[in-house]
Amino acid sequence: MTRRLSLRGVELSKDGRRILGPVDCDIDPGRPVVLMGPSGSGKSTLLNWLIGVLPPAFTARGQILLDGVEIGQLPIQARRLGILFQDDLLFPHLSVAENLAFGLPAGLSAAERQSRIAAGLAEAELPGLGGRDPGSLSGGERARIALLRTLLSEPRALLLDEPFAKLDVALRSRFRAFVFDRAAARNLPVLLVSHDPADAAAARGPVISLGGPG
Amino acid sequence: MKRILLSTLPGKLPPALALLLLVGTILVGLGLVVVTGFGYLPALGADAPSLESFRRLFADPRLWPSLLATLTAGLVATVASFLTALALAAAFDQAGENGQGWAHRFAVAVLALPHVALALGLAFLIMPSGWIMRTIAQASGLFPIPADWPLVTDRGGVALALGLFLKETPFLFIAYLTALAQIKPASQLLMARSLGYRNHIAWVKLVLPRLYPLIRFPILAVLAYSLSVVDMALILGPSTPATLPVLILRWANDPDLAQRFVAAAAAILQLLLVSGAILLWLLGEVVVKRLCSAWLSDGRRAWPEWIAKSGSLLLRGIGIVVVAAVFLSLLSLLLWSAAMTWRYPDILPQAISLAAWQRAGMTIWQPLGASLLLAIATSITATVLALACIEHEKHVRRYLVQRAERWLFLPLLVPEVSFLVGIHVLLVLIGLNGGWLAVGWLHLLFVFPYVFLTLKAPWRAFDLRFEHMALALGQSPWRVLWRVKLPMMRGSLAWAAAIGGSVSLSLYLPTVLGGEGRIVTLASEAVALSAGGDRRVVGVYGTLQTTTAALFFLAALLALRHRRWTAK
Repeated sequence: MTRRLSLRGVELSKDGRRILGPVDCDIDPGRPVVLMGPSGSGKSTLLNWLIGVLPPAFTARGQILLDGVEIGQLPIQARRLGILFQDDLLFPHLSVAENLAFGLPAGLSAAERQSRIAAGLAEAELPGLGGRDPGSLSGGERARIALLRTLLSEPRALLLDEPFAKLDVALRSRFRAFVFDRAAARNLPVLLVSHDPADAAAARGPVISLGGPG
Repeated sequence: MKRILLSTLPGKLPPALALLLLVGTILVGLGLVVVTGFGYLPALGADAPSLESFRRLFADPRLWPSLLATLTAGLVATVASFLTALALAAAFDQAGENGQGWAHRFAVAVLALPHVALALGLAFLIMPSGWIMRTIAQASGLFPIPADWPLVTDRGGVALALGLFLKETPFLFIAYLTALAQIKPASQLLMARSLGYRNHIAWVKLVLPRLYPLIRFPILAVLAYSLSVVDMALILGPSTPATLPVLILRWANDPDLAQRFVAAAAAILQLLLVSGAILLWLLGEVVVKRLCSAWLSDGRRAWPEWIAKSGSLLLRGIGIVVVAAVFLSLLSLLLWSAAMTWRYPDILPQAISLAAWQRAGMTIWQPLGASLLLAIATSITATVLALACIEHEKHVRRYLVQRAERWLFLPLLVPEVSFLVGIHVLLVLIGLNGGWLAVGWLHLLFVFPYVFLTLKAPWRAFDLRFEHMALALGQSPWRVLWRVKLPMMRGSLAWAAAIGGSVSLSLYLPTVLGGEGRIVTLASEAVALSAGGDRRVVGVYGTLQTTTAALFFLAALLALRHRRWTAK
């Protein structure tokens, strides 16, 4: 099945002044769209709006279509848009396996949950780490677990809020490749916001440049 | 398109409820005090407004000496603790981390200490047959029998001022260190030193003017509290006549209902007294600012040597006295509770026994149970309510939050005796007086602001992206709160609940006004017993109250320390 995430006439305003947009784009699996802009251009806020948690100081207009269906009115947990932030945000009070299990949909049998977690850990090349405290993992390991957790929640598209920015350079390109690869394997549209030109080059998809506030 | 908010939780209710509970009750209390004071209370058969109760109040010969003692004790305590806490904060700020942790922990411990217990211990320490006089008697051979001096409950209110000073200096000290951490003065001080300024003067000229606006509110709260305190004044304050808040309580509890009107009139006077003192303080600020503005930039870079030296010696002395007085007070509670015979000039009891504990054991369960029930019930209620309020904040613009929040400080500035007398009238009118619901409600009025203020900072510091992540993973808002946010915040929750519990544990006035003597707690019983004079039983109650408060914090610390993961 093909998936397509589309933005139609999306604008962000703060205190009545437009800070971003209008943005129109179609995002297809395998061709990540990159939104490039300096900090303060509202690109992270745009992702917050897409997942449904726009801060109260902002207002937004426009449509979010997933396979042609408007999802902008759905509550956040029904949108099923996966997101990765700059930080891995693994829940510190849960083990690695419990973090992954948190992402799994409800209603699966216990055995099914176990096997999906094990398969996920194998896919991340981190077998046997399930019982560990996330705090004891390396930065690269944590980043991969965070991606896995989002993918196990069976999202319909993947939003990336500069998830590579805090990794060191050697790790960054490997993890970037891993993310694009896993997303393509699952047939997911990917929207990446970044201010790193290397991200745009690696995505090999359309690039939309945002100005500063104005 | 409409703005989409994540407002699946029934958001607006808790803040509205909290404001109604807090501000509504206080305003109703004040309103009733005003109408009652002016002689209008149809339920008691008074339906013609008049100045009669004021006339009776001002005709009372106790009023003026009482006002004078109230003002002296309150102002002396406020000024002394303000200056001491400021000097201590400055000293510790310049000493850096070295020793600050220890001083901070001590201050937090004193803050958690119930007022009543501290006042009882201090009375044991300074009374004519207390430890200090025993030591003097032993060392000098003077005073073969206890001196006939009114060292506690002195007319001038010195003992009361000392008690307030011990309790408030640590509070202000913590507030100042917190404010100092916000303005980060180190680099400015370094710059001043490179310009040839000595440390102390640089601190006063550069740091203090920036610090003061941040610490104004705690000082005003201390001022209002010192002028309105009831429990400590009953133990340490003058008795002939008592301070104004104590007189108000007596009138309000008088079986003669006509005295309720005098109580209300006096409560209005109390309100004016506190407002006047606050205005005076603010006026003082302006004057000091005027006088010092030229001095700030006159280029003088050091105090005369003798001032700097003696000032630092004095400060050390005061610091030691504060710490020693608190420890010795608690120790004398404990010793008295276990003393069998303790003849006068002896420093230690001749024999130790648990007789007082056994005797108290027969009657103490009821007040202990009531204290625990009230503390646990109100701190849990307050924590849940505060949590719901702060949780709702993320859907609201910042300035609205700040505007609503200002009202939360109301109970800390309005003298409690003033609005509680009015609320007592309300309780009688709606028939809730003397019941658990009334006492719980009044406790909540005081517990909630402290819990809210404690929970606010860590809750706002929580990285909301954890929540966003969990929601984006497809979990419902309730599950995210339950599985992610609450577990991650459990340390702060436990700490706030412990603060709430210790506040409730120490409340005296709300207990006696709401409970009308039918509901007795450790605090109210300890104050009542302190008039009786069985020091051993008083020692038992004071020790038990202190221990209970300590246990709340110990439990919170355990929750704070508890980590599921051991380091690997």
